[in-house]
Formats: sequence, C-alpha cells, structure tokens
Amino acid sequence: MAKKLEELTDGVIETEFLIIGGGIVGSIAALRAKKNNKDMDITIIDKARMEYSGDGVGLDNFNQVPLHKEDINRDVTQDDVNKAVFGAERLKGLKDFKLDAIQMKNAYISQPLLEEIGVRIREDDGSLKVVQGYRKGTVWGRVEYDENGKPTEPLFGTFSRASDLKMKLGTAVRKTGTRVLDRTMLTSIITRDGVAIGATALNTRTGKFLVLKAKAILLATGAASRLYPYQWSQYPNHLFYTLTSPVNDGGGHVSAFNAGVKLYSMEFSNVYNVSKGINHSSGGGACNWYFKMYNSKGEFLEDKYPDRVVTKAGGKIPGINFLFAPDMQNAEVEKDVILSAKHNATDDEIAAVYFTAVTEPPKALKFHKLAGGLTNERPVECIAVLTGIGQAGGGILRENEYSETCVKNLFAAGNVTGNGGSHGFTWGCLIADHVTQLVKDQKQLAIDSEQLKQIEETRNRVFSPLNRNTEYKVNPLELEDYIRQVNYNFIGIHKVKSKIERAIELIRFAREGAVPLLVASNPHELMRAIEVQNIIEISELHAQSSLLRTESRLVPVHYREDYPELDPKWDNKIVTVKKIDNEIKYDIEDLN
Amino acid sequence: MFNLNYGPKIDYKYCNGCGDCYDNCPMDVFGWDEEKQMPFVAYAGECSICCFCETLCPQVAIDVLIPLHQMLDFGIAPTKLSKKSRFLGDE
Repeated sequence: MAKKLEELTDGVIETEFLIIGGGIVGSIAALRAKKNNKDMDITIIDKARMEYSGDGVGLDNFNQVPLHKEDINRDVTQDDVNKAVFGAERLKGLKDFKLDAIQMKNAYISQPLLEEIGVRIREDDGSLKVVQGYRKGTVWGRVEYDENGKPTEPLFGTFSRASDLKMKLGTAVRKTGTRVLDRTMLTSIITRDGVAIGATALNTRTGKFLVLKAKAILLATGAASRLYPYQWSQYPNHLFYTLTSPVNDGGGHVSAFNAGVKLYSMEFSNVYNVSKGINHSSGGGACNWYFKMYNSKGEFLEDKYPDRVVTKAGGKIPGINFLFAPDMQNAEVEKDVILSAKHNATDDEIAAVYFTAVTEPPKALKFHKLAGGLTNERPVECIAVLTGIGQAGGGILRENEYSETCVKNLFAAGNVTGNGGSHGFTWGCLIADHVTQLVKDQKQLAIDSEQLKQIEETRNRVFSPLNRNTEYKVNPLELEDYIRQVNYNFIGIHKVKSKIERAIELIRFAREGAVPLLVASNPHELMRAIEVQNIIEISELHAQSSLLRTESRLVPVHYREDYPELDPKWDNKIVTVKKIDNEIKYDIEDLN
Repeated sequence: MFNLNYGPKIDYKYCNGCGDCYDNCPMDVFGWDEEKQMPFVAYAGECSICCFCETLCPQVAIDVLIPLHQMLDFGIAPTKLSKKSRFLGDE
C-alpha cells in the first residue's frame, strides 16, 4: 500500500513557476516573470543562500554581443553568429546555431531590468562603455587602435561595473514576493507522462524533505563543477578549489537525467588557464588572461605561436591554446614552466585585471593585495586545470526555441546546458516570458500513485546515509576524493580507451562497493552524501561519452591519444545520453 | 599531527552573533551554537576561500586563512606578512 503524500514529506508547496537554482539565470527569470505578472506564484530553491550563490558574483561585461547599435534586435544569420560567438569556429558542429541566433538577437533583453534594480552597467555620464574586444592578438581584453584611434577589430562586450550584481539580484528577487528557499537542494524532478510537474528537495539545515508542485520548472543549477580535483592542494581542500562555484555538483544534471532529459556532449570537460595558487571563479582578474605568457627560454608564447592567436571568430580558447602549443605531445605547459609577464604589463592591462578581479569573490583582490599588488608581484605560474562540465558545451540538451528539454514544461539555461555567462540573462528572460503565458493555460497535474512511488524511492535514497548503523562507515568526502582522482588519472586531458574503460570499472566498483555504506550524521553531511552520488553518475556519463567520441575535437577539451586527429565524420555529430525505462542509452546524433 | 591552516577563523572577542557568516556562506562551512547564539566553524575543510564571510562580517571578526600552498604558489611569502596582515591584507 503506497503511502500518502503527507506521510512522505515534511511539507508540500504548490507554485506556478519553480526555479531550481538562484544564480544569474534563476534570479533574472524570477524578476522578469514577476515583471510580466506580479501575481504569479514563483518559488526559487537554492542550495546556498541566494545573494551569494552561483557562479556569477559580479558582472564585468555582457560578452559576445554585436557591438553596433544597429545590430541590436535584428535577425541574426549563421555568418553573424560565427563572427560574433567567441569560439564559433571550433564549436561548429557542436552547438545549435538556431539557439545562438535567438540568443544574439536578444543579447540586451535583460539590461533594462538590471539597471532598474541598480546594477551599474553605465558610466557616470549615462553612456555604455563598450571597450572590451577580442583583439586580433593573443589574449582577450586587449584592444589595439589604428593611427586614427579606431579599434582595429570590432568590439564585442559591454563593460559594466556591477561588482555587487549578485547581492542586488538576490535582494531584488526577495522584494518581488518570490518565495525563496535557501539551503534547499534539489533531489529529484517529478514527472507524469513525460511532463514535469514538480520536484523534491532537501533542506540541508533542517533536514526537511519537501515536495514542490509546479506548472513549469526552470532548471538553472550550474555546471557540474566537481568532477576533477585541483591537483596542487591537499585533501579535502582540492575538492572545493574548483573553477566554477564548488556548490554546484551536477545535481541538476542527474535529477533531470533521471526524469528522462537528454544530455549531450558529456565528454567535454573544459580545460582552463589559471594562475597557480588561485582557483575558482577567479576569472581574468587573477588568471593571466591579460598578460603575455612566456616559457623558461624567455619566449613569449604569442610570438612563438602566431597561428594560435585569438581572433574574434578564430575560436581558440585564449591562454589554453598557447599552453598546449605546439601540439598535445609537446605541450609547452607539460614540458616547460610557463609564467605570466606581469612585470612588463601595460597600465591598461593592469587596470583590466583589477577591474575584473572586483567582480569575482573577494579572495581575488585579497590575494593580489597580499602578494604586494599586481605590479610588485612575483611572476605567477600559468597552469591548466580541468574544470567540470558546463563551460565548453555539454549538459542538458535544449530541444526548442524556449530552451525546453525533452521533458515537457521543464526548461533549462545557464551552465547546466553548457551555455553560461551573461547568456544566462538572456535565456532567463526568454524562458520567463514563455512561462508567463504557459502557466495561464496549464493546469497543475495531480500527483498520482506512480509519482508517490517515485517520491518514496527518492526519500529512501536521500535519507539512507543518515545515521546509518554500519561497521565500516564511508565518508562522503573521501569517496568524492577517490572518484575525482580516478577521473583525473584515468580520463584527464590525455584520454586513452583502455584507461577510460578502467575508470568506468573503478567508478562502478565504488558505486556498488562503497555507496551503500555512505554515512552522514546531520543534514549538511547528507548533502555531501547526495552530492557524491551525483558526481559518481556524472563521472560515468563523462567516461562513456569520452569513449564514444573516437576523434579529437576542441583540443585539449577532448583529446583522445588513440584518435588524435579531428575526424570530419564527426562534424555536426553529438554524443547524447538518455535514460529509457531505467536503462542508459548512448547515441550519436546529428546536430539539428 | 599538525593542524592545517585554512578556512575561516572567528575572533570571539569581536563576534556579536549577528549570524551573517552562518546565513551566507556558500559552502555552509559554519554551524550555529544554539546555546551561545554564536556561529562556529563546523567544516573548515570545505571552505573554498571565497572570503565572502570576511568581507560580510560587520564586526571584522573573521579572518579567512589562506592555505600555505596557495600563498606560496601565488607568490605570497608568509614571512613578509605581519601577523595581522597575513589574514587581513591590511599592511
């Protein structure tokens, strides 16, 4: 006899629009939807506290938008996208152009709303400062001018001064009357006949298990950040020194996947250039994006490898394309020591670094200050770190122009779809506009016996580690450490079939042999226990997808030692994965 | 066994129990002592050194200790820092 809903939960909340994740996407979607209809019932759940959660802390620019005023709101062609979307040439065949075109056309859609809540985008005189461009040179952010004082390349970004962006977003959302549930983590998405009708969630402070019923759901849970360790630090630090917010474990990916959502390009875990010693969300401010890099012979990499310079449509990832030059077998970063030339940085470059640093967590400026200020700092070593899935494409596949997944009424945006940064503002607004109309006609579907069974299973799985009475106790963090080391040592940057297969064996062995003994003594630790299970699921998807793509593309993001070349047969093909009748099915599909 | 230096340290001489750190820490590093009505550092190892708590604390009662490896790798010499500035950065 199935239990009743009340017996299974500590609370049921009925809402029209459920937003999972209070980052940039979630915040702007709530604001926009409330703007459209102030009476709409909106609920946001956030695993941390909304004002300080997510990847976005500040906003230093709206990136990858057409510069010229006349370009705003005009229809966008494939050619325009290729010119403007950073990395378009490399991402060709991996990204849906139709969605990029919609995104570009609506690049500024969120700006009035942001300005309304006091986000400082304009200069004091009210003008928009459009200074950031991708120089036809080495690193982004440096602009060159011709003899007439005109930029030599079209510019792409609108600089803003929104160092307190996230706080303002959080405060503004609360003022609209949106129900904000902080410290509440997603544990499953409830579906009925292929339609998303709600979610279950755990309060990581009180341990309360909630059911949230909704007419439409936006999944905005960020990247799967915790897939690889930060190799230069000790346990347990290296688990939380991630590039994007370490709060984001990929729980959104896993819940959606279990609900029938299709994932794509899970083999692409980004490789990023950072300064050794500083890590997550430290972006350009700390990471040498603005400085020239040189090797032990004193050679500047941008002069040594001119074919690797970044152009607006060249589509090579700045920094990384130099670190892994000339090729993966002789990569500078792996054969030599690479430092950043701060000592001969121009004033503009230094200003740009500080400017960017203030939009990062406070640590960025603190580190620079402790090191003596940028001009006095010792050269910092440039290293390559493996980040999670979400910065180089990969994640939840969006199936239509509303950014909807293949589960009806379940929308997704931001890093969870492999499309983050300021694009999140655009999609947050577009989804909110669509949902505003949708909830008017949509009836709340009832929770039936099948859904009750699903909720009960989730509840049992979620709470099973709590005070588990077992002789051998598995510490969630220790298991997470193990899995992430497996990913690093057996998948990593140089992927080989035999090693990836071994990774899969080890991941599965850990799942069967250790997960049943996970132990947590309070809701906080329970959160870590749920997270490691998510990380295990994503690790296997990452490994299997890496195995399937028998070529190298976006090197070093996906480099197969045994298939080192880009294979044209793989143009416009994506690896997808979906759960059908509880079985995981991988596929190689044509990109629409 | 040496204790590793990382994560937030609360100076209870100044802490007034406002709870801003406990409320806002993204990694949920802080716990709350119901009896004393004060925060405490419950999971220092899970600190990502973002330093939000340090800047949020109205009493300036929190110093986030940067792990030694991060300081050395980033070119920060602990010997060059006064006891105070090692954590606060206000030389």
